[in-house]
Amino acid sequence: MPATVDRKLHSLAFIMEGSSFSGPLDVDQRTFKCRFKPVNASIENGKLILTGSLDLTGRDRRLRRQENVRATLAAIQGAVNGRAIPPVEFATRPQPPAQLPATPLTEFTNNEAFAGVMYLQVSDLKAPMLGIPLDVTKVQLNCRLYPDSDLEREMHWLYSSIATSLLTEPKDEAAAAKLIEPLVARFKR
Amino acid sequence: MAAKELTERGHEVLVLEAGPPVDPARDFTHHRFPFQDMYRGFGPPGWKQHEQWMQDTAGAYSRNFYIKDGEHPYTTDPGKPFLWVRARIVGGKTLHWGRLSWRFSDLDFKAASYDGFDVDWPIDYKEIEPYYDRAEEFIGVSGASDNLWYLPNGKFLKPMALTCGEQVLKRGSEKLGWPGITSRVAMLTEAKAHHRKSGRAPCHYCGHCGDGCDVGAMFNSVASTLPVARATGKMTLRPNSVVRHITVDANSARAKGVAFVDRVTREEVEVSAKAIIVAASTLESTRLLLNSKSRQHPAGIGNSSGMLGHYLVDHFGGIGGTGFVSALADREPVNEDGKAAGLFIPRFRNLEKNKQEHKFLRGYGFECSAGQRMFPSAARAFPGFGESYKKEVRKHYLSPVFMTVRAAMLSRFENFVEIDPGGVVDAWGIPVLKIHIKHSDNEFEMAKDAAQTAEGIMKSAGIEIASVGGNLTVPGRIIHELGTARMGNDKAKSVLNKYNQVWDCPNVFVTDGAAFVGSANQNPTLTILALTIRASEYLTDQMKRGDL
Repeated sequence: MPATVDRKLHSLAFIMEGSSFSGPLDVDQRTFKCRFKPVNASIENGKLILTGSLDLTGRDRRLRRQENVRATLAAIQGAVNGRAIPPVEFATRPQPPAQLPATPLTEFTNNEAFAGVMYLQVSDLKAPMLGIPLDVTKVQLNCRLYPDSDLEREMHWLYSSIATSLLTEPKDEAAAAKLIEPLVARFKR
Repeated sequence: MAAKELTERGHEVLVLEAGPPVDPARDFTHHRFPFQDMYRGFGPPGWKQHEQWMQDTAGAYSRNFYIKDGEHPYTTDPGKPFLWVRARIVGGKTLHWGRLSWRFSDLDFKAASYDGFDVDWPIDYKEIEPYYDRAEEFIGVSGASDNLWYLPNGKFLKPMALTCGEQVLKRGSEKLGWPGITSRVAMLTEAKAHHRKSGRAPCHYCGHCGDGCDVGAMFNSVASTLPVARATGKMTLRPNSVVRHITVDANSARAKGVAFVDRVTREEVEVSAKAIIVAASTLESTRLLLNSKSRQHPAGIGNSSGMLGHYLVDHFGGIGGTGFVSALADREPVNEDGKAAGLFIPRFRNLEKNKQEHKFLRGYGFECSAGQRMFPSAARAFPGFGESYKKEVRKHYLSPVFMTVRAAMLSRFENFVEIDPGGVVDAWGIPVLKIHIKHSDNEFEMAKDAAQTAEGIMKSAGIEIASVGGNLTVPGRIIHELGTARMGNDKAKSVLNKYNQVWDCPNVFVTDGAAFVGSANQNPTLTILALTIRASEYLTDQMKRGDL
């Protein structure tokens, strides 16, 4: 069978940066900085949808942008380090120490668990608009949630809580919906 | 190991490795002091959390041996994380493995006959014993014959010595009737002729085994098996080859070859073969089989039973204790950087047939160590700063002891992997795994018992206890993920036969931890190697008979 070359862009490895996600993209020995900046969030058919712009900036500093990009949360990867800290308005009062469990627990599970990565799927990118010679019909954003500022810590907790409500059986769409407004408010900071 | 065994038997072998090649002279940087490194041995700020957040054992000197998590997703349900450490490089995880090399016994192979849980392996100890012998002699395992029926003796090189603190712990354990033995490790304390022939030298005790071993004293495939296979002239090694799936012959259910993408050029390639050995590490092997769907194998190769992906286990750790041997305080500091073995307290629970002594099945052992390295980890345990702090660290340089459990996890159908139903893919568009695993009451009860016995052993040894207890490590952290393509006698309840051969597709063999029926509590690598030698011999015999 004659060899072919895969010219599809399958995924972008992003890390949370403020209320955006960013990371590099290498195409034909050119490196772009990519950024997905959500401006809105909603829950549709039980799934979290983030809507915003996707930017690519090359070494020539020219900005290529596509607006109204819709990214759908497909799945998460659970985290095994750190912890998610709720924003002040969601912080609960300190509870009296619970009775120590009779047996040890598994680290980073159950109440100590949170999301470390969100996998978002995008299917409306347009290569000419972004100026890259790749098939971008179905691209996955691998969004690493590792907070490094107060805003990022708040975003992390909100994303993690929404994902838990939407991806755990039985799903609790109402609980997730309550967190959409505070999430969108932080997009504007 | 399969490449070595098959080329030595005259087969032409193509080895496909998903990662880059490795050149020890260029890529092993362990003989450098931290002050020689721009980031003082810590690596660039943020690299771990930004690029390799799941690569728990990756350090500044070894991070090139591990994958970048951003390119290699997998998914889990909320509340049930899994820590998946992966190496995609020639040599794989043998470049940095823990080297502990224990045989399984019939207490492990026939565990179900002992306690009634799950099923026995389709093999017994006598069947695999000669292959353990061959594996140990080839890789070189230092250790002592301890004459424990449940941890069989082997073909050992001379053992390493225990430190003073380990001797104290050993006496404490033995007072309670539980033997303490020198760990058996795949490191050359002496180089035999066949080791020297492939360029391996005895250990020089530099203590950086996990950062690559440039003299080949530690068993890894770069220094051991691949040179032997290469010397036959029958092996072709192709790095940067990310296999998508196994291709199937349209007229039969047999495998035709594999389709892969070049990691660097993105070229899509297909190759054909008479037989395929899948040894991509436990979960990557199962992922490959699950992704190999065809008309003949609609649920993936080896999945007619519906068992492919199920019975995932990982040992757990995290429970143990730390303390100080007061008799060793105030002695002249000695750095134990080159210490590679340590003390092992083998399993002592549930050793008798049909007699469950506790609230749990199976058992656990303790890995123990004592002494400090040039950068003493115990220093973090002391409060304060300045001169008085330094005096305190110096005072306790020889006295700290550490115990951590290595415990069995029961094989349960409900702990499994599947192709992510949400359609998540990796950087090459290959569907990824969704991993479902959590501990059961058996593991929690075992952990509780282990915490109590750790305390008992330290008290018996007269050790001043600093901490005891802990939590179970998150599944995956011990890097002993096993099962998901288990072998068995019953085709309807297993994926492989007793020779690691896929029931549904006889020219495919799976020769890594995926084949395991149960975890036991011993480190699995030696058993993987022994099973691989046996499977390679069987494959050759089948070909000679014309059955393959």
